[in-house]
Amino acid sequence: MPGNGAYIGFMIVTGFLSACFGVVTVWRLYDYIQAYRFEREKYYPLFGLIPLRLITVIYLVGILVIAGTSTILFGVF
Amino acid sequence: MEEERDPMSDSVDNPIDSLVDNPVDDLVDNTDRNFRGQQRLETVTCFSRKHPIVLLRSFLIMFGMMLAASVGIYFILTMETEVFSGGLKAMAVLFFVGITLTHHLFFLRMFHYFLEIMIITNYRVIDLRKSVFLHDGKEIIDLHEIQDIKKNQDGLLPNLLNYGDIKIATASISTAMTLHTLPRPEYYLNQINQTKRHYILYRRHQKLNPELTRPYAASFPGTETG
Repeated sequence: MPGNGAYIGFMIVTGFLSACFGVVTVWRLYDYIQAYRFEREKYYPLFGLIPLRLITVIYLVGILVIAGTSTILFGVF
Repeated sequence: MEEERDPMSDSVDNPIDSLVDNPVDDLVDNTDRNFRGQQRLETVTCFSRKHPIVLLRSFLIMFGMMLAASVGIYFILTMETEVFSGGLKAMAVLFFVGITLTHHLFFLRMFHYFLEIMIITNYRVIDLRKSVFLHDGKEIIDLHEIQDIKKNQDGLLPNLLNYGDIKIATASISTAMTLHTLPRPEYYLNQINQTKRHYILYRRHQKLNPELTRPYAASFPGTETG
């Protein structure tokens, strides 16, 4: 059975890859949506009230929270 | 979410009036103004994303998997075992990887929702099927090619939440376009019809008086909806 360090290392690598993927995703998304120059107030909000910027922030923060939580949990237990 | 507008109120008393005796120099150059590939005299009549109902399935899957993984991790951590054994650790790792994947897939689907749009201009109908990584499709039908437009709004949910499909048929059977899960399909059906009518009027007038007719720009003010 691998030791606790191996699990922590695996979670750190997974979290790092996940964060990189998240950054690339947001970068590509903004690159694409800048090609559509519609009225910002109508194009950007989801359901007319949730701005895209907030959604991307939630996405990136979520990645960090999941990566951090998993690493800390394996560190504690 | 979208600015309500009666499609029929857009009609100009006599659209031909706005097409003649205007110098070409007065026209604004719209090249790439609202989207890549937009032509010089092309104006956006309206645009739309799909109905938010398309996100419901992804949301339910995400919610279910997150809940299952969180419950699994909770049980592993609160088990009455003195040692957090290797098997349990491997299982916890799997749960965390599952949560990470679910998180990414859900948000990718949400970003996909932002990129997949339908645009009606004074020349054509454009259906963009783009996603962040996997798809990059574009389907275009010129207004003069449109022969028949059908609205399909079958079922309880489509009628309750007011969404449906619009099928645009052309003379050629192979080039039919279906705009899936559009919100307010009746509105967009009328928009396409009305824009097509203006375009046909313009072309007819151009044939009769080619020297009087300026290049075609929208004969009614465009609106953009999301």
